Amino acid sequence: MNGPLLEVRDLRAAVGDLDVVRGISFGIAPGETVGLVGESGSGKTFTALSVMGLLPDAARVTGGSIAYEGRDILRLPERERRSLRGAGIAMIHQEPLTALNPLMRVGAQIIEGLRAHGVPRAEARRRMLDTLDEVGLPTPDRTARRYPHQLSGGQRQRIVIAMALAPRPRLLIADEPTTALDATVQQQILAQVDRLRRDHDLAVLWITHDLGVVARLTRRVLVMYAGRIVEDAPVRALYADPRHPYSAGLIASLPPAPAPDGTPAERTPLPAIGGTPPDLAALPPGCPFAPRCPQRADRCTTEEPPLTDRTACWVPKEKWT
Amino acid sequence: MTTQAPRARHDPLTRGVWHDRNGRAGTILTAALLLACLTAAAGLLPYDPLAQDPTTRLRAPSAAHWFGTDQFGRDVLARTLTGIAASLRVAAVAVACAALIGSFLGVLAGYVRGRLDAVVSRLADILFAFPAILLALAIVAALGQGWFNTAVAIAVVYTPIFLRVARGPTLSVREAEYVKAAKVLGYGPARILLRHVVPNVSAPVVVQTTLALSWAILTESGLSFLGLGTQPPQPSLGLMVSEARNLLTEAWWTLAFPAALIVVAVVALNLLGDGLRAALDPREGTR
Repeated sequence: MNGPLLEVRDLRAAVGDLDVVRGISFGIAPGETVGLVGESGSGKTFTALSVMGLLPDAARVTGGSIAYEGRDILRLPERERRSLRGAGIAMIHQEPLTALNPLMRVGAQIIEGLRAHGVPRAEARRRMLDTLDEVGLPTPDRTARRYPHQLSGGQRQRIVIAMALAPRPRLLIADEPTTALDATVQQQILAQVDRLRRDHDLAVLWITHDLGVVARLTRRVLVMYAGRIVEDAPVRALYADPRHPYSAGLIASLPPAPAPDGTPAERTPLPAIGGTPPDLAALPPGCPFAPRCPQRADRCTTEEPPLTDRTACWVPKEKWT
Repeated sequence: MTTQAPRARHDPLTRGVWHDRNGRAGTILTAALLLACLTAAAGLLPYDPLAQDPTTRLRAPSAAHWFGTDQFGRDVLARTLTGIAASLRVAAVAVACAALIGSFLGVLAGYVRGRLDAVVSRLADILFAFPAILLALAIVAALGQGWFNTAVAIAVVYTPIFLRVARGPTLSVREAEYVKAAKVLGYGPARILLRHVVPNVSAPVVVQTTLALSWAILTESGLSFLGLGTQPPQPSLGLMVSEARNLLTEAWWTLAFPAALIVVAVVALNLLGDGLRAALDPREGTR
């Protein structure tokens, strides 16, 4: 099929009376990689959980639509929604160390995921071993017999990825899957997921606050702030020419890269974005970023800017100071 | 880290219990008790626990009667062993029912939360508000006597304990990442409960089972002592202690041996429970 694999339109979600996702729209094409970046509390994880249909008890989707392969999944009965989870859309959580059942052998856990989606036993076992091999675990048949506590953090994260990918989903939501791992293992895991993405024509939504990850692994970036998307841009364009003052601030606060000959960049204090993220319970009128924004104009404090073709900002780049 | 794996597969639970000093003592004592019960139940005792013999009334312990005889000339050893078998039977049936029903309700309440949890937990609170022996007495009085009714009464009293023991860990397991991951993978609630929640809350329930067995022996003895458990002439430890009360000055053995066996049984099961707890506790690091 043509058209987007996932189409989110004007999605709103709330915890109690608190709006945490305030009308966001984006699409993901088959095989596309999209980064979703933003500070803690900006609504990234809630967006992901809304797509999965697994918001915590106190939270709910209050508006908008989420279409997967053209069907609005918010209107699907729970049973169909469940079969979509895992088989159609998979998700990897932040905590690889606790995402596995401590009392089941890891191979059995992967097989269970396949069996739950109707794969016959022998076939499930074969695919489990294949997938373990694919995620870069040596000696799959031995690894499959291990319990989670007998594996390292990186190995466990690979098992978690294998569990997510074994049912062959078309979309993978990776919610900061490597934050709990050390830097070298992070790089390996990210590279591995990216290789699998290419091999299986998998669409991936990377949720992260690490702009380095985004630059390396994605084509397009959505920048979230206070429950809205403030910039939706191809990754190169975003880095070269951010159009929203918040994106500009994020990119300015990255440490400078070392020179090509390897000498580290001069040590200067990193510029930071002043102020603190807004309290969602008491958002200012107008643009939620306005109180911290160096480019603020009068209109910013009275009227919230809509997301036009690329950014949600009243002040065009030419007028920035 | 990995070299341990093949050996750990040889039933780490029994190994863990055996390595724990309390666990080993409890295992040996419990096994001895069970053996004695089986001997009694199979009718392999040298004396009939019910056979009266006026010629051998109130004999002190001797080579012929190791625990002596009571006021009807019955062998105290035979009666004690038959009594512990009766007590264990009641305790086992009662605890099995309580553990099954209590932990089923506890896991369900803890996992589903909401109104079901509120109703079930408040009912448990109400049952908890009564002193155990008083509640059991009332139930036996209502149902009538007999070992099965005694077991039912004890089961009712102990169900809320298992309910709480199972509900607590369920509350934390339902929030665990691997349960969330199971939902992400599209598993249905039955699969998540049976394969991911129940195994991870079973450790405290198993420990509780052995402890509850020992308490249930005490409760059964108490009911029999008060005349509402096992009925004469059937022997029961509580009943024997009750009947021997008045003989304390002239025939101490009629009281001492059954009373001592109650203690041994309770201690044995408690030690076993300690051993299980040590073996099942991940913080002990034996696995």
